[in-house]
Amino acid sequence: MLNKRNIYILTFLVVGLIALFAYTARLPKMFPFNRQNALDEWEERVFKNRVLYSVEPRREGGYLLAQSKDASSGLMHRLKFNPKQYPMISWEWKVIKFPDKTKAKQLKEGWLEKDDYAARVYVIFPSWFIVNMKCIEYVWAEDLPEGKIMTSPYWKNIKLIVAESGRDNKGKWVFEERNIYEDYKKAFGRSPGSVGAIALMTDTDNTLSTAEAQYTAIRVGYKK
Amino acid sequence: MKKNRRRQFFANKLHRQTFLLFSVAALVPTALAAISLYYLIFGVTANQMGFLEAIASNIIPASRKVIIILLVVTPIVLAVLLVFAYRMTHAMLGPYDRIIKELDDRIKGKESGDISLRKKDKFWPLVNKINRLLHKIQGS
Repeated sequence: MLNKRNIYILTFLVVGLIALFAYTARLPKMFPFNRQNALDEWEERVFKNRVLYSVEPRREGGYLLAQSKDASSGLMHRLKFNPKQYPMISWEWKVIKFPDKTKAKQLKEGWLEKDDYAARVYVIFPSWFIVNMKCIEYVWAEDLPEGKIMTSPYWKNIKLIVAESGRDNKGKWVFEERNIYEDYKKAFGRSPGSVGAIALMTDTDNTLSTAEAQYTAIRVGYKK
Repeated sequence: MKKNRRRQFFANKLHRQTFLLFSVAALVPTALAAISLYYLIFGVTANQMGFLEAIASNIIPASRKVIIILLVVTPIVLAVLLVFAYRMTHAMLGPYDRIIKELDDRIKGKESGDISLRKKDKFWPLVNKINRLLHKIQGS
């Protein structure tokens, strides 16, 4: 019987289901950067100065161009999913110019001064308690071996994984595919919680140099 | 005159209930306020910053200081508050059973003379009036 009380309960349930559906990302999520307004679904976060992010839209092969000069800012897209269920992420990236780390090496030995990468892809694992927030960053490092896992000089909850190494592929599109779940387990030694966001960054704030990279065909939250 | 010594932690059921109510009334709002402020200040700011490098550089050091202060100061403040609350409720509600028992003994004729309380107990004016009434009844 549809009395007033039941209508309230039904409305509450429907609203709750809609909210839950809206909160859970539709997977897999694709970012082909083939529209001029492709950056609308990304939030810019500035750390130190702004990196110039622009979209070069094409029907086939559109990409995101990142140009950094003594800067560190990134683009973030929030989406929530269970990496155990949908563990894969893939993207293509191209480095045009690596940050110059020679000057930083001469200045100081600490590796915070060298913590700049031409291209990074973040997977962020939020937590209600901020000291439990974690992230893994896939980096293209010209001077570190591929597969190396490092702890960020900023915080132990940030792990860097060298997804691409060296200068051999400089100027070429390189495809990467990673298993977030397995990488997290390798990096932190335990299973991850939900993914809360992915992000991209090209930064040169520590080396005070310039870098340029391109990103495209980002696909996140799928099974292999 | 007998010495009135109450050896139990709680003088009576009413004392236990009042003290527990006071403790919950002090602890729950404090915890809720602390959690809400933590979320409002650190959670929302961290969420806005997004990148963990920025969070690590800006929020985590501040958060650690606040947590240390909260972990040190809050237990001390709460302990002092609860000790005062215990003593106050004990002084107020402890004599309750004593007065009832003493009156019962006098009604049954087991005891005579004044009802006495401990120095720090509350309700001395009430006991004085009862004692005056007892004198009046005994004198009539």
